[in-house]
Amino acid sequence: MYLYEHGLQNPHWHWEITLYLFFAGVAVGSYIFAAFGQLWGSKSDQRHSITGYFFTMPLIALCGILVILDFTVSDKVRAFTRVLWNPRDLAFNFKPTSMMSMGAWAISVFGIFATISFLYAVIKKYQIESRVPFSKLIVGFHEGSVKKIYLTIGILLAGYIGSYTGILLTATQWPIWTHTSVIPLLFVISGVSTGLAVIVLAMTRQKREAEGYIHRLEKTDTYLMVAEIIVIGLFIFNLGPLAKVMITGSNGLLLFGGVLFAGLIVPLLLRYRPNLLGEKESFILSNALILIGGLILRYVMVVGAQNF
Amino acid sequence: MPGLGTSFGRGGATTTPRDLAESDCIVIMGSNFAENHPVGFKWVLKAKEKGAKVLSIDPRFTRTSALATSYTPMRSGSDIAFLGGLINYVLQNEKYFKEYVLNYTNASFIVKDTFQDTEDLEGLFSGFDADKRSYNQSLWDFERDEPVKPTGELKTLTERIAAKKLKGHPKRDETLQHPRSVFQILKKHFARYTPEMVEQICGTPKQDFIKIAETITENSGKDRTTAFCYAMGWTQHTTGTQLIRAAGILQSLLGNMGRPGGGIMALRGHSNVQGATDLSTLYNLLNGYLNTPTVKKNHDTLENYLFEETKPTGWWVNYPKYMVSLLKAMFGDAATPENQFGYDYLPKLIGNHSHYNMFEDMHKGIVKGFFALGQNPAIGGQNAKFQREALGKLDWMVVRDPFLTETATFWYKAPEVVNGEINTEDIKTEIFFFPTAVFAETDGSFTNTSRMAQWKEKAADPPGDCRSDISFTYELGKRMKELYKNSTNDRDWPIHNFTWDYEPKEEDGFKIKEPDTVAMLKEINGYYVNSGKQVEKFADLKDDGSTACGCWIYTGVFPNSETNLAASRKGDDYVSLKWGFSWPSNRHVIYNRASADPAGRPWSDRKKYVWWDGTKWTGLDVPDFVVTKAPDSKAKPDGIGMDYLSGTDPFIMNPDGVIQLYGPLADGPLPTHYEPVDAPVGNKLYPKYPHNPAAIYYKNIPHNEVHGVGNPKYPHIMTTYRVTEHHLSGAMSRWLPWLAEIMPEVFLEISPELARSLGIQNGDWVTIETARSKAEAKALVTKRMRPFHIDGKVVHQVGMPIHWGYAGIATGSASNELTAIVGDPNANIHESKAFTCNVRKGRIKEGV
Amino acid sequence: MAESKGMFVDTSYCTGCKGCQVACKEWNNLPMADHIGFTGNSYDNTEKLSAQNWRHVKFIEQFSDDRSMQRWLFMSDSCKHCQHAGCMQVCPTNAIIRTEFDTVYVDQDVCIGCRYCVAGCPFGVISMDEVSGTAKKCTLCYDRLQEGMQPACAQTCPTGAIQFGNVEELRAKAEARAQVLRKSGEQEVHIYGTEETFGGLNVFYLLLDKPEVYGLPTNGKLPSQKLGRGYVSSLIGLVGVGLAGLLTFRANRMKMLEEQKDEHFSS
Repeated sequence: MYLYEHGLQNPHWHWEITLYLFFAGVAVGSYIFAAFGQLWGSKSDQRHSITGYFFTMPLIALCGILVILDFTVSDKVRAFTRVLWNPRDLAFNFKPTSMMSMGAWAISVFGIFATISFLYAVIKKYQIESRVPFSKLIVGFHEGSVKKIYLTIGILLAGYIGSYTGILLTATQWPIWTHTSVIPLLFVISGVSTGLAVIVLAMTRQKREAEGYIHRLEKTDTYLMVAEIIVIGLFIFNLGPLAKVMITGSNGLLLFGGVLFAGLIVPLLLRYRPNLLGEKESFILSNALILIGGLILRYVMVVGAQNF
Repeated sequence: MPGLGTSFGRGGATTTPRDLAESDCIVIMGSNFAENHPVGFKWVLKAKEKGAKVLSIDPRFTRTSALATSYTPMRSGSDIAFLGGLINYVLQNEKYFKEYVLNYTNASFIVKDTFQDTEDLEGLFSGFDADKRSYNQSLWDFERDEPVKPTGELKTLTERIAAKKLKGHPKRDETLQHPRSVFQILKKHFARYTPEMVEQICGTPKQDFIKIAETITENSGKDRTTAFCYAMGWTQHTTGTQLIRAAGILQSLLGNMGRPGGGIMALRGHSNVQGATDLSTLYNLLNGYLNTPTVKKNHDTLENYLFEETKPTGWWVNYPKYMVSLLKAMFGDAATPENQFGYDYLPKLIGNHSHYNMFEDMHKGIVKGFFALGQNPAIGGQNAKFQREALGKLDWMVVRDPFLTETATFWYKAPEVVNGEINTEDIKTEIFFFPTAVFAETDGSFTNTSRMAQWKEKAADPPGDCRSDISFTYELGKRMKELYKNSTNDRDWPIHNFTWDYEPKEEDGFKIKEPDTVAMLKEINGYYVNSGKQVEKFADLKDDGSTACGCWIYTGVFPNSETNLAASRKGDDYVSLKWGFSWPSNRHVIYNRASADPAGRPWSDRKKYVWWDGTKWTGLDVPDFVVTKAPDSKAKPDGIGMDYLSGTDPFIMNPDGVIQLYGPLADGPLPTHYEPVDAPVGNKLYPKYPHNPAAIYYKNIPHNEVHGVGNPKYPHIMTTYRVTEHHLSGAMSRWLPWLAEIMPEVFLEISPELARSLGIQNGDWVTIETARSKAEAKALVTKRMRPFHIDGKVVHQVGMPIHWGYAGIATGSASNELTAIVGDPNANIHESKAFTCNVRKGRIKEGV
Repeated sequence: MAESKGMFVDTSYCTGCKGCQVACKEWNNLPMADHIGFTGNSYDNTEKLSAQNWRHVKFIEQFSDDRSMQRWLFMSDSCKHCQHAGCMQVCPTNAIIRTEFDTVYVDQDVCIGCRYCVAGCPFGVISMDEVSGTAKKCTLCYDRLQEGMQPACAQTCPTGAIQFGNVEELRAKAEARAQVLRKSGEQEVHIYGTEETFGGLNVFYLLLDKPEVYGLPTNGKLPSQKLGRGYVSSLIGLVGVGLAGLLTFRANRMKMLEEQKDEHFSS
């Protein structure tokens, strides 16, 4: 007999897309909270917030490379240019119906923001304002009168990319991806959560100096993680009979053992009871586990869900 | 095809696939039409579209059954019981077409009192010689009037022979009441083939059988016609010929022969099997169904031979004309009346030289060399292991095929070599493999299932050194002539003198030159020796050596030097007389005189086809009758040949001009139900004679035991068949990636009921065993198969396609590893359609 | 645009001969599958459509245990050339275009191999060619159409189960055929591929049973129709994140400002 689902084709997205969606999440999360800090934070918050910018640009660049690697044609670089520009029609490709197209544009434009913010962070951190061209402009975007507009656009773009990583899967025909609407929500939360974990980890050595800042980020992350656990539950519930695919076998092991237990419950436990391992160790381990959990989540959602 | 020949006069299918579209009911039995003849099947669907019933009667629910309007199951090997049941139903319920039966069949003929029926002798006809396993057929003759010897001058050899052999007209009882009339004999013979008996023998539920009987009879008569379609499912039995006879009797009683939408469609399994048979592919036939001379009859001289073989009445009176013209075509100017046109140089049969006997002789070391041209006996032959053993005893073998077939590679790839039973070193056969061109790489013609020759043109040169079979054969002939050119031995006369001038035409636009096939077709058509002009019709052929003709039935295909009718392509929306050329004389539905009533009027307006317009026969087809012979013309009292027949005798190839409801064959004048030589149950009708008493056994062939009745070691009944995706032994399909992938592995179809009892899951490996050998296949567990309830016993039916072997892309066991070498006494055809076997889970050798 | 070209696949005429599959592979020079083998699924050893198999004949055995119901259905499947094509919607590079024959065609020169179309097709038609790295599927024999010929499968089909022509005319034919079949007692005749299915399928089917039996979706949604709920879902997340940001920073700044104010006043 022919089950509809069995006739469908999966796109064979593997580690490239897994890493891509994971890094995009981290990049987005780190940017958003860096920008939030700058927009809304106190003076010291604003100072600490630049840490996030260090990650966004390199990760976005890495995302670009991963996407290129994922293309199956042999001339991958030429292929990359064709995402935006169609030489056959001598026109830009801009398709609101294609999340891939929208994502490409969002990442390209956001890449400019990420680069500017990266430079800003470098300038600030190493106090090299005089040696960087256009540094006035760069700093102006982040501190001057256009700051609000500039950062708001940046946040919106980042938010869009965060959304896109999930909607990319929702707007397909693949049973698990499209059966539930929860994945974009899950990816946004997880992305930001991992973004926060990266920032916090990066500030390990500034722990004393930026204690309040780190503490508040961790607290926020805790809320996000609790939300994530709830959303994962929602996801499984929402899948109905299809849930079997995600909660049994290696998928089940990864989702429950990797994402839920190792990536969420253990970090929460370590934060709540840091003395179990020692404060510093708990701090590093919990955030590292969050990142690993985020990666496993992408893997199980992208690759695992294709093993239908 | 003696089954059709005995009933109607010619062995070819009586109708065309196109004409099936005119049927009101199409019975497909012994054939998987949709599967194996997918192109022709469109006409069945056309008929169905117009409201016709399509009845699929088969042990398996097939692709044909899927498209039929009804499916009726029956056990393999019980076909005659089923058809006999239908005949009985027609006779008992008086559903036969009285006027047709009375006028166009021998129902009213009186049989001599030396005839005794199987009903009298518990399963034998009179005259059986148990030692020779054969019948004395003269006991079955008709009572005849004294012949009236012709008084006029006998001008030709043909007339002289006919006059000498002339027999009187048979005695008739037009009331059909005489106890020894064919009609009454028939009635008595089939009286026990009741619906209940059919249910017990065939496993077909009684109500299903009656539904079939009703449908067929409701769709036969003046205004409606039913057609029967069969193929290897009927022929490949030890009772195969009689099985086709049974259908012939049924169709004749129903008045469906020679009429649009009626007839019996013998579906051919190969694009040119009809053409090959027409042109003497069988050892016992020369071109055009002339018999090969034999030492077993008085064939010493041409005249004796012609005297033996010529029938004095009906169209076959012309036999001498066709034979002499054939000899003229073979030996040209060297054939003269003085040397009997070279007759003495034809080889004569000294026994049965059919495939099995040839391989038996090969095995004994008598046959030393072998040409396998487009044949794959290493797996295509029954008891395949024996066939390979025989091949391994040859000195040399030439294999011509597009790919390295199993026959070319048996010495290192055969199962018994791979498993170490036989060492390659011990096989001494020297094998020459010639890769061949395929059909699109040479021009020529195919004669299809409608007896229609269709010309095809070469499309491309073959790759590399590949050459067509025609090219090879022509070159071989030329080299033989060269080799023997200095020989003075008289026995080499035919090599010196056979006409062999088909040099390639200079300009055909191809690099590789092919012999001139147009010249061959012209010769097959025939020409006047003196003028070189083409003969227009076979009625013009002569027995004095003034005409030469390669195959009389094709005369007319090339009526003048410019016109190749096989290449004509003007179709219309029905008979399409201008598309190709159908032998004989471009008649599409043969015996079509019977489509009109005795007075020459169509039986009904709906079924009009050929009729008498007051001066001549005319209609939609070429009349299969003497065009100017009026319906009311009487047989001449002293007439020979066609003059012996009247205007109401449509079956002109039969000596008496009518259908032989009762007609002699090696195993009786009427079909009788016998079980296969491997039978799951005994013969319910004739317990004393479970199998065909005249069947041919090959007891001296190694590992060729048959299972007999109810052998507990081999409880299941097996049938073999083909699938659309592959062709014959797969020699042309299992090597093609696109075909190999869609049917990649051999499988055994079994019912869930049997699978459950054997612990077999769908897709499991299974091993199938017979006394001959073993085969392995993947199980295809499907409800399309079903167990049969045979006389209170459950018989499980299984089925396996034939196409696989050990070479090519798609490989697997050949079903012929399992089959036995046995023969139908009339056609020497094996019984691969019904034999018993054992099935067990697992492979032949575990862990392979 | 010229008239819409398409095919009417009348499964009531299909004998499951797979001639269409082979003709398609031959004309389009498609390779044999990497792994071939017996599937045990009736006579279907192809399993699904793919870049190597642009046509696929489905075999559906419908038998009750006592065989009182017995039916073997065949369906020659291929790309449906949807009016609203999922693959076309999601293709980021516009490699998938609508031709002058109103068919859906993958421009091999523009395809980059992102494989989003594979996930976007509701029928599992399109997949990746491992050699070229591009997405491939039935072109409705675009090259033959340009020469005024019909697709290879339609030309090969011995029974006329695959009829090629102008979609409008074919739809009328299909309707008439369905009427005839219904009158002759077929209970479940469906024309699959009318407007409610992705805006109408240029390659549409007459089925002898419900579409589900043949593994065809009846209420499928295009990728574009799923965007809305995706955006809503992520927006909930983003709003949450925004609130978290406010809590983390703005609330803290306010508190600090408050404290500063207090200090100011108290001093």
